[in-house]
Formats: sequence, structure tokens, C-alpha cells
Amino acid sequence: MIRFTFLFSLLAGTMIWTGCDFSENEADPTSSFTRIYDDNRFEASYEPLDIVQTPDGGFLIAGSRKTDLSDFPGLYLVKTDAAGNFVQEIDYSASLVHPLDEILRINNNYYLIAMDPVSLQAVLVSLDPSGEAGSITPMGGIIYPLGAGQDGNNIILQSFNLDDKQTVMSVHGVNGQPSLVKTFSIGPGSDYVTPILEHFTETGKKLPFKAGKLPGGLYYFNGFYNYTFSLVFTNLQEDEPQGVTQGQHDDGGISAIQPIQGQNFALASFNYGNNFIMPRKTLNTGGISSTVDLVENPFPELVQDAPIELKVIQGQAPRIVYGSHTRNGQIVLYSFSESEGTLTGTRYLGYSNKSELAGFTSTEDGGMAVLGKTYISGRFGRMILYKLTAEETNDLLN
Amino acid sequence: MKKLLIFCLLVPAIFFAGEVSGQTVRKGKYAQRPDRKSDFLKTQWWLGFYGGGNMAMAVPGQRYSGIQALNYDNSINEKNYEGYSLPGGQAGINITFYHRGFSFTLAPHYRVEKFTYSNTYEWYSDENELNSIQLTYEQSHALQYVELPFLIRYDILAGQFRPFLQAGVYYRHLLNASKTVTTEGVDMASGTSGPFENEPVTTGATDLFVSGATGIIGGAGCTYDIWNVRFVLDVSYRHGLGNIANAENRYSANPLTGIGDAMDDISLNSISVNIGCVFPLRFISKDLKAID
Repeated sequence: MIRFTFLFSLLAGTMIWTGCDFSENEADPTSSFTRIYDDNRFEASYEPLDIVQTPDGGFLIAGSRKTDLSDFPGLYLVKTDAAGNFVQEIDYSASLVHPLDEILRINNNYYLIAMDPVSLQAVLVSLDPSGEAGSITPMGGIIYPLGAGQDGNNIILQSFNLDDKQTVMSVHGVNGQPSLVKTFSIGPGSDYVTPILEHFTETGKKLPFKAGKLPGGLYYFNGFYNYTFSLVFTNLQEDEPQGVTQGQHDDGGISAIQPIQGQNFALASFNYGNNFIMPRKTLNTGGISSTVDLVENPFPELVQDAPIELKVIQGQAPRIVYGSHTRNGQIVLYSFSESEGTLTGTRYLGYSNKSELAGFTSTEDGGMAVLGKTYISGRFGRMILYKLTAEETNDLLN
Repeated sequence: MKKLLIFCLLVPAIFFAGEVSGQTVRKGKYAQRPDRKSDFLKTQWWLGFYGGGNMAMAVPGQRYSGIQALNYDNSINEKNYEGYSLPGGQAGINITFYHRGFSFTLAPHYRVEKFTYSNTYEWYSDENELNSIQLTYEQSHALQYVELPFLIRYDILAGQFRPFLQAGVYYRHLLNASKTVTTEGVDMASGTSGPFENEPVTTGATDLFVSGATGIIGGAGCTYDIWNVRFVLDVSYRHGLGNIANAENRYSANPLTGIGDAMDDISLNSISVNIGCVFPLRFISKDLKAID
């Protein structure tokens, strides 16, 4: 019996030595999750647009829905808690259409630009962080909003004047009223009216309309100018733009832009289906150039004329993060060093059902929230939200 | 893992070492004891091997899902667990110390346990109620463990045929896990029933489970002695203690989150049937069999 006791003690000691794994098996439900927001209606289809994290740790998701009420997709908002659980929705699809794909944060308030389905006028929609309906403010009679950006507390809007066939750039306060307006001809004729209208009705190519301002400098828009989908730099004072980076009709051009410093930009471009990523590129903002001359770093894994999201996210150093989706149906994130332009990490999301990127944002816990669209059973378009942990984000960025 | 293998090899070595030394020490004692047979019947060491099959059942605790319902009740998305439906197996060695009707057994072994669950989703048309699609994801899991059970067994009867009861604890270490998803459904969107089934997809799932797990064991069985060999048949129930799903990797390491999959907190129970044989380690000779 003494021997048995001895052996048993030895066994217990050996078990400890061999490292029996009794470690804690708990996880913060907000640090990592995947959520697919499903609707059991056969005809329902959702198009996610952008995501922000609200002060309560939850998320505000902007999207759109196709309905029978309009030719244009209607605005649809979802509020989640910090773990991505659905809290509530606001369906504006009967009253507001064609929301732009950028949630703007001004003075800790959130805004989105959409369009009145009858008057086709742009409206500024205030988004309540709690998910409640906010105010709707007309934007001074501007119609057909195309792309939005931000300059401090001001909103920069690119829109389309169908009657005069003009691209319109305007600067607004949060009261909606324009303080600056300038128009640029897309060229006589109706060649480029059709792709613009198809962009609105989502019946054709979704074009990467953008608007913004260089730090302390020129305004820019990525849109139609002089028969070409171009990146145009303007001071919004003179009739002629200061600089133009021309695309190839509507078959080529800039697909994403992020000013870095001076004339240095992080860019992505498309050209007849091909995609190019340029994390550090010098652009001539005071003359005419062509995106054909900018071509480098082709990314053949991306879908044709890939929609690309581009943001600066702080890692160990500032990182340029590109997001898009691949031919095999995955969301992909690429991180580049802002100073060197070198690739620091790549992350793929999605498996089984096809996934497409809509937007992403860094989160207060050091992680990232990635919003996309997935097709359940290969057919039902639904919004999907991936939350990456701080560790996963660090692996991507560094 | 390397440590565990060393441990599995070390334990029998410790026992054998103890046995050899015990025999050496006791030579003198037995020389003083004329009734060796009687002493043999009271105390004995046995070594053998065994194998068998098992059926497992996952018992869910806290539920999780990657699907969030916008316009219906989330509870519809809960998984349906099918208990004791997939056969697993185990094989290993048995080291037993017997003393006056009680046996103390270590039985390190390799085992595979399997469990399955399914999710069913349905979509209906607002415009035509006959249009609908039903989709079922059936997900089966195979978990490979090295397990170290420690059992105390009590022989109800003595003799050539010995029924027994046993109880014990186990620690198991996960070696590997895989997950196979079969998608099937009924597409009635064309106005008629069109069943479909996709090819199964198998993915690695080791990171979805914790590497170490414990539980308790209860069971019964019988032995039958022929010459120096004791044949053992037993049935045991294993009750897992604690959650075996890896909470940290619930989403991040699961490639199937894209279809809404997220592991619930689960404990794994199983019923095992084993057959085996053991051999006495002392006094094997023509004159003295293991049991008269």
C-alpha cells in the first residue's frame, strides 16, 4: 500500500509536470466575433456601406436596401451592441435613397448624405449613436449626390447636375447650407450620363466617386470631368481645375485616394478590369497627368475594377490599410507602411459563402471592425461584420 | 505533446520498476511464507491492452451563433444536437493493481470521439408564399485525444467470472480535430420542391477546442479468466467537466463563420464499450495460474 501511495503521488506530480492544460477558457465576447445580419424574406437584399464604432462600444452600420418603392436603393441603418448583437434598425427606404458610402463624424456626431427619392435633392442625415432616428437636413438644393468627404467641421460634396451635365463640388456646414459651389463640365453629349445614372440605380458599374481636401490645400474630387473619369484638384474658386489626373473614359481611373503629405498620396487605380495599389505615390496636383503613368503593383487576385477602401490606421507606426475583395470571394486587407510604402501584413476574411468588403474601422480596443456583404447559400445578400482582436490587428499592421 | 508522450511511457515504466523492485525486496518475505498462492490471490499486478468503440454526445451550455436575425426570433438559429449518433473508438494499455477485491487502473489510450449538430434556416417570399428555401448545415466533428483515465474497480464476485463496478476520473489531451459540413436543402423558389445537397467540406478544427479536458467515469463490466489471461469486457460512461470549446478562438479560428457557425459552450459525454485482456505480472508459472 505504501508503494501504491508512492506511485500515485509520483503520478500526480508527473501529470503536473507534463503540463495538463487547465488554463482559463473564457473570452471577452466583444473582442472577436462574426455576425451575419439575416432577414428571412426571400426578396430582401442589403448593401452595406460603412461602419463606425459608437461611444457605447457598439457599432452603427449604414447600408441600403432595394425596394419596390423606388429605382434607387433606400437608406437602412443598423445599431449593434459591442458584441455585434443586433439592437435595432431604422429603415429609411421609403423616404431616403442612394446613401453615400461614408459616415462622417463631426463634433462627435455622425452624419450621412442621402437623396430625397422625389426631388432627388441631397440631404444630410444625422445618425444618433444610440440608433434612434436623427434629423434630416436639405443640402441647399444640390441634386444627385455622388461622393462625400470632410474638411474639419465642413462637408465636401460631389454631385451631378443632370440638366447641365456637370459635376458639382460644394462645401456645406452641418446646417446643410453650401458655402462654396463650383461646377465642372463632364463634356457635351450624353455618353457619360448613362454610367452615372446606372451608378445611382445600381444597374451598372459602381464607380468610385470621392471628394475631399488636401491638408491645408486644394479640394479634390474623383469623378467625371471632360469626358473622363478623373481625379481633379481645384481651389473651388477658379473655373478651371488646378490639376487633373485623367483616367480612361469610365474604364480606368483612381479607385481610392488618401492624401499623405504634400503631393504624396496612397492610391489605388483600375484600368480595364485590372487593379493597382500604390501605397506611396507622388501626384502632380498642379498639372495634367494620367493614371496610365501611375500603374504599378498589379493585384490580379482582386475582382475586376475592384472597389477599394483606403484608410490610415495607427499601428506601431502609421499604416495605409487597403480593403477589397478577391476573385475567390474573400475580403482582403493589405497593410503598408506609410513612410516606406512596404507591405506589412495581409489578412483574408470569409470562407464558404462569398464575401465582399464595404468598409472597416479601427476600434477602441485596438482591434478592427470589418463590414462586408455575404451571400448566404450563395444567393441572399446580407451584411456581415467581422471583429478582429487587437492581436489579429497587430499581426496585420505590424 | 512531447511531454505527454513521455509521460505515457513513463507511467508504465514506473509501475514496472516498482514491480521489479518489489519482487526483489519481497523474495525474503515470500521465503518465509509457505502460502504463496494465498498471497497471490490477495494482491496482483496486471498489464494488458484493450480497445473498443464509443458514442458521444455534446451537451450545449451558453449558445452562440454567427447569425443575427433582423426580423425573426434568434432562437430559431440555435443548433440541434444529435446525441450518440456517430461511432468513435479507442485503444490503449491497461495497468492494474489488484488488492483484496479492489483494482486501481491506469489506462492511457488514444481515442476518437465524434459529435454532430445541425442548423436549419428558411427564407420565405413575401410575394408568393409557395416560394421558399430551406437550408440545413449538418456539422460533424471528430476529436482525437490521448486520454489518461484512473479507475477504481470493485469486484462484486470472486472466481473465474467476476462482475465489477468501476468509477474514476480522466484527463485528456487533444491531438487533432476536424469538422465536416454537409449542406443540403429544399429549393421551392421555382414553385416545386427541388432538394439539393452540396459536397461535404472538411476543415481542420483543432483550434476550436481546448487542448486539455477532464471528466468523471462510471461503469460496469466483467472479467473472465482463462489460464493466465484475464479477459475484460466493460461499459463506461464518461461525463465531461467543463467547456471543451475554445472561447478565445470561437470566431477567429473558425473558417466556417462565413456560414454563421460559432461553437456553443459544450461538454462532451460518451458511452464506451471495451474488450481487452490483461496478464498477471507476478508468479506466472506452470504451477500457479493467475486464478484457480
